[in-house]
Amino acid sequence: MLSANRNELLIRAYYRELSDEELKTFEEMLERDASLREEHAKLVAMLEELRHAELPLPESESFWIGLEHSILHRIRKEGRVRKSRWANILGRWTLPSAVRIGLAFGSLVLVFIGGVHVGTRSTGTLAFNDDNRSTPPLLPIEFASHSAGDQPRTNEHLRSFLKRSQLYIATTADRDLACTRCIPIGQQLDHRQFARELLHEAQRLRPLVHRDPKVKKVLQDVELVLANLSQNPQSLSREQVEVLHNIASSTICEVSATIDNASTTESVSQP
Amino acid sequence: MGTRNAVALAELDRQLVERVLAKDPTVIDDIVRTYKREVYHLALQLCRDHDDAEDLVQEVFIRAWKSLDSFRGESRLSTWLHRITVNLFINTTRSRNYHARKEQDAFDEEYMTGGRGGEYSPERLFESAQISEHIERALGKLSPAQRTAFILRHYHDHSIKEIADQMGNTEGTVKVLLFRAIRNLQKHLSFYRDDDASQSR
Repeated sequence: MLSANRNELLIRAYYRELSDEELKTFEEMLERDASLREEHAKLVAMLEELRHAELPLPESESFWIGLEHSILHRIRKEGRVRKSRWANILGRWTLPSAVRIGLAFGSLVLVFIGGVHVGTRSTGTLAFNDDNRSTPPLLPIEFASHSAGDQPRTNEHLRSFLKRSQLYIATTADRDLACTRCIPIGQQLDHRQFARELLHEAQRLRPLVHRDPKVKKVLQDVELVLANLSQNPQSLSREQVEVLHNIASSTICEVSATIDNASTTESVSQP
Repeated sequence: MGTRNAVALAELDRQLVERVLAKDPTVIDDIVRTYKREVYHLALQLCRDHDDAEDLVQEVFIRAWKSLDSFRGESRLSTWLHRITVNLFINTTRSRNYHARKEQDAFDEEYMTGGRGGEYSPERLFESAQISEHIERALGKLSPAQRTAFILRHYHDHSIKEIADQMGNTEGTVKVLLFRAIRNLQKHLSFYRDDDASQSR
């Protein structure tokens, strides 16, 4: 067996760690010492053989997509354990945590309470009066003309908006694992667009809730969430979105079912 | 081309570091997307098994995600991920039970010494293309730290200093680990020496 120094020298020579001076000395030693030459040749042969034994990486693209998916899936799973889905959404806000949590829970509760409340209010309470009409018409003309004299339709539109927003926000909590039910498949590559559309819709609905502070607050909270979501950059490729979408579909359907049930049990009573 | 890729990767790394420091909650997705191959490559060479490598990679990214807040941007993200990979590998391998290792040692002893009726002579090993398996066993017999140092130096071409950073050791320790790793490999792959010697005679 070679001495430690000698062997270390061989190893350093193989990995080209010798300085010019050391290398020159080493080459001279190799010329002089046949046993060192032999040891050097054997070491190089062994290390080269080991280099060839490097395990090859999988070539299949589906392997890498699958790996990426399983990593992200586990991260999200861990995230759900660490904090609730809603806390995740609120984590995107730049407000202090206490305010974020308060707003999030407030929004959740008020979305449903608000729906019930709006539905049970007397027609006169929510109907547009002259003051409302003096507000610049943010609603589409078609909707405004119906809403002015059609309270059930107004309530239905507001409830529908809140439900869609909630579904969108809930599904987006898992970072854009969108369902075709709430986001058309063709638009899945840019969820911000969907968030922006909902945001615009919320702005158009403002006049409807103008005289109801509670519902107005709900709408403002939802707008705040949507505004934040519409700002987040998206960079998922189509393939990745599709994989994530497929995996997430069961979760999303569960969310949808929950909302449906909630809507059924807490449905807006129509006047 | 390689240099251009390296520059692009360095720039991407820098952008990701900025996003981490800015607490961008979506950055982990891009970190996974960017470094999954690199981390898997290292994990595969360390574990020498695809399933184990996959498990290790998942753990690495989960650990990274949980520790993003503590990342100060003092190193490249890739270096940081390598460090997590190395630490996790060494810790998990150390915690494995020793019985399996001892059984393997006993088997290898027979394997190496030809204790099974000389069936596994060096010539036969070459001829029957079992060399890769033999190398796997030799690498498997290194301690986790030795194997890590060797893998990073030999397969990933990292400098002693980089390896020391990633392993949280001094450069001197890494040199010793590398030296011992190669000495052990020489011992376990001694048939190379015998074979060469017999050929030269």
